[in-house]
Amino acid sequence: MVALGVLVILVSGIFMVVQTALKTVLLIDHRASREDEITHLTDILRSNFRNLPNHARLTAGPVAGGKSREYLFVVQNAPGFLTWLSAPESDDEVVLLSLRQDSADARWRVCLKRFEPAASLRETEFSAQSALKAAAEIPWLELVAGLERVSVRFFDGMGQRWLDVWKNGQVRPALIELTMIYEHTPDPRSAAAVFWLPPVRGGTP
Amino acid sequence: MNRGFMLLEVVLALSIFIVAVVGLVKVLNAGLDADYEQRRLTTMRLNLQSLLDEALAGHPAQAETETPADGFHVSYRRVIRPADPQISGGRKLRHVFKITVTAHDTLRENRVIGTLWTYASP
Repeated sequence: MVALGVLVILVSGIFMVVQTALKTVLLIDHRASREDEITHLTDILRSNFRNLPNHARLTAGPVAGGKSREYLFVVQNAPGFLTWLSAPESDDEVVLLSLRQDSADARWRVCLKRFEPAASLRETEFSAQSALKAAAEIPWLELVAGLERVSVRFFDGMGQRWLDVWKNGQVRPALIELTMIYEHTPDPRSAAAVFWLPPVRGGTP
Repeated sequence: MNRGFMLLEVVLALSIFIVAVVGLVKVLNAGLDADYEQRRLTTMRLNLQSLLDEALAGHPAQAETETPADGFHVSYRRVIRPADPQISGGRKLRHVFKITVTAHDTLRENRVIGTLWTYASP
């Protein structure tokens, strides 16, 4: 009887230890893949911002209105921006990079969509609202999901200050800072990356 | 005699259990250490690239800056020095700076654990 009792205690002990070990291994694996996702995203953004063509126009900042928050990058005249797998169909394509908070679970996603504006709008400099309206029918391509918090800032090389919005598409921010918190509890994990954008040649840095 | 055997069995079972638990705890610890190390290296790589990009955004001039150690016990040092690299024909490129960013492990006598560098001109 005593031996049976001891056996039961030992078996439950082993079961608990193995269960904890498995949970920890799964957590470590999950964290490693999240870190990979974030690292790949920052690598892609870094190389794309660094190689932005001289004639590309970039505006970015928080989008006003709506229940959830959103930062939107509108990139024009940059056919190779965030393009992979196939060559862009047209040089006039407009790329929208969105960091948006999902209203359902308040988590953030990084999404992308591209559209070719109508011939009459090709010379237009799209604002966040007009670009979203023009591309309303096109679905978002999700790059990273489930982020706890996201923030973006832009460094004005002329004024030597950080700004929350970048409105002037003719001039580029010298730096873009992207901060992402991708796991909140029990141990907050975040990634802060600063990307350099080479100044427009023959323009103002 | 039987009671003696029973005690021996219990002691034996307990020893096996303890050995198994110690083994599992060691494996878990190794996993957690690897997780910490990966996170530390990822953060270090991001910080090195960001410090290099920040230097590229300014006008390079001879300078040396230090960033104090972060939560991972890694401090950073950025050195900008005139480089004037030699090109073909023995000529030297003027007004070229070399920007070097190094990461130091403050727990191991500031040993360098990561380096990134690039050339830049004002």
